[in-house]
Amino acid sequence: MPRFRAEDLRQIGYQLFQAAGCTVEDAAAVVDHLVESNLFGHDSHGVLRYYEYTLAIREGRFQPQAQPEIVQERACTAVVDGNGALGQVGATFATNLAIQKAKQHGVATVVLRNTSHIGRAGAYPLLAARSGMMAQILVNAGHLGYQIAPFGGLDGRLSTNPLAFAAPRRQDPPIMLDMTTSVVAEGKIRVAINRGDKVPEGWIIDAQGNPSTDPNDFRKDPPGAILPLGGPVSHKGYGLSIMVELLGGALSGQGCAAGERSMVSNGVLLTVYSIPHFSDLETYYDEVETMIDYVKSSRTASGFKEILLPGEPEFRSAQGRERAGIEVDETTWTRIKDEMLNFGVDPGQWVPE
Amino acid sequence: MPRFRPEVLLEIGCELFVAAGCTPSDARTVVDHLVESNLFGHDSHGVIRYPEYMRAIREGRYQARADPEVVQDTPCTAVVDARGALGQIGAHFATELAIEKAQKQGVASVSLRNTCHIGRVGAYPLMAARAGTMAQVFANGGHFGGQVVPFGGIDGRLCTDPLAFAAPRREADPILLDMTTSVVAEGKVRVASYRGEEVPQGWLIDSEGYPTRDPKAFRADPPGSILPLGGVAAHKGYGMAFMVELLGGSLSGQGCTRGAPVVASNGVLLTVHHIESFTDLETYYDEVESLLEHVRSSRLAPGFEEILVPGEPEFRSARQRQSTGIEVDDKTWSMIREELQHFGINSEHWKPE
Repeated sequence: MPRFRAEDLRQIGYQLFQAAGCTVEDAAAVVDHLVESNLFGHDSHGVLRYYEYTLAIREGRFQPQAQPEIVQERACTAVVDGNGALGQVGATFATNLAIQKAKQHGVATVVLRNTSHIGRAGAYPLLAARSGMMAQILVNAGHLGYQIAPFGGLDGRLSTNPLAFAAPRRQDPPIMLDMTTSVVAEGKIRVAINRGDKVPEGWIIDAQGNPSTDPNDFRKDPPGAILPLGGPVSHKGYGLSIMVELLGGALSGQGCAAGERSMVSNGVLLTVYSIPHFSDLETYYDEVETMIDYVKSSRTASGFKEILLPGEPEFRSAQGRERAGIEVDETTWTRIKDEMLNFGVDPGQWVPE
Repeated sequence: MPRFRPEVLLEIGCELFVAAGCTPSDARTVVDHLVESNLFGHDSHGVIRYPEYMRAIREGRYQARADPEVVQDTPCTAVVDARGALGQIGAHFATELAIEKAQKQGVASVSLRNTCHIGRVGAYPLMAARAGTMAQVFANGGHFGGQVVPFGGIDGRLCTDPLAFAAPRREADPILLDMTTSVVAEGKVRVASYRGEEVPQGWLIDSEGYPTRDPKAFRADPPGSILPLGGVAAHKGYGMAFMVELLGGSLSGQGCTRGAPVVASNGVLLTVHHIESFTDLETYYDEVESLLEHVRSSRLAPGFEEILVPGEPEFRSARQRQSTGIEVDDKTWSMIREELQHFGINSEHWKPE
């Protein structure tokens, strides 16, 4: 399989997206996000999207030149309309705005609509944590919502409604939580279908509401559904999902789950906290490090070698892949090269290692 | 079992707490919170606490009269040191402050420390929702934390780290989510232990990390632990516990889990959002109602008679108990009467129905 240095994949992406009509900054927002997905080990959200996005641009479904716009603003709040900009462009804009406002005022909430898919929700709190701040993001899918059953129900009525959170550490990568409020993300069901694998008990039910381990049940007609997070206490995952709908969907103006089958845009709410407005920064770091030492002092469960922090698996993968390079499958690399040619970029200078 | 109208329990409580030294309005705050717990069906957090609080006040562990103080203040943020006030008084103060700031600024976050136990965390977002705003609260146990294992570990290192959320509806009770980020609250394990019942699979492990259904294993020496929320995806509950520790514990100055044997005070962060700073109020209500209609249109899972909105079980219980009265077990009633006698209050006119 072709293998590239992360930096080379970024340069390829910058050239491609700039040729497709993005500004330098917008190309960076999209490309840095996608390459980071590969670094974190989430290849399904990585550079394989290069050709998908540029194809959408060629077909006029994505607007490379669209610029997000602030449509309502107060000192510590804003409503951003992405004006159809690429998701990463809209969400990076909204995040930078929230960071800037929170630095000044202590806390800030920015909501975002009309910006297609924003990608990994965890990327945006991480931007805030890298600026020394804490952030929480809640992301719904607007009026889309047919994948997750409500507690007590057996038809899909909600989407996977992720939430993410990140907080800085003194000298180490941030703490980062990035999770769906369903048992599992839809992508993992799709991967299991493609591989012909079964899924673990407790992920899905079939169209009649019976527990199933066959991922194809999710896609049948009539379709099955993914369960909310929580197993025997899945009213909690259901409740979290409703929270994401109301904060991410209703406050952003993108709207809440209404059964639509294709997504126009995520609805997003991001809240950023400036630590010094609440606590002395050194005290904060001391508390965090003491907690981490204490949590890690637990004996490990059988099958575990160590206790990892939220986000640690991703940062370890990134360290490894920064050194070893990122593998890109042949199909993806061929299609990226085709897209470069489509936009008049010579792929010849990029040779896998 | 003696049964009382809620107003009678309120009257008894107010007399008791005023006799113990609280101001009439502080007494009302504490008593309203406790009786509402009974109304919501959470008897373990209800008037059963009257005698417990009285004893703590007499023994000097709780301060009947303490004035919460704002120690750090900006237009959208504040840090409140409750100076040892009863938890409900500190949290009520912080919540009113956050609502007022959010109504002016669009969003506000107030953190709170040094206030003992705040009781049901859902009570505070509910205050915000009743004032027409949306709120999230995160509450840790300060340096306390030996009940819940980290993902991949077998020793208790975190506490049940609850979070809660509430949002208003047009003409119905608010949506209310009030949950621990562990599978279950510690109180439920205690109740099972008192009753000599087994707990469901997936709640507990014993001190060696083996799954157990014996609630006594949790209190054994060496102790067992509660599992994080999520079952097959327990890394999510674990990650949310970190979010609660960091937002509630570190931003409040109460600190994060490090193995202290008792809770000195909850560490709390409350974030309130003012709806009209983000979206038109009528649009918001329309979105919420169509979301709930969509969710309820699902067929029912076996064993369910209807799909409920988060918080609906509590509000239904409250309506029923408003009319039928609240049952108080004999032991609790006799302990309450002893406290009344202790303060020289004639309890004769408060008779069970």
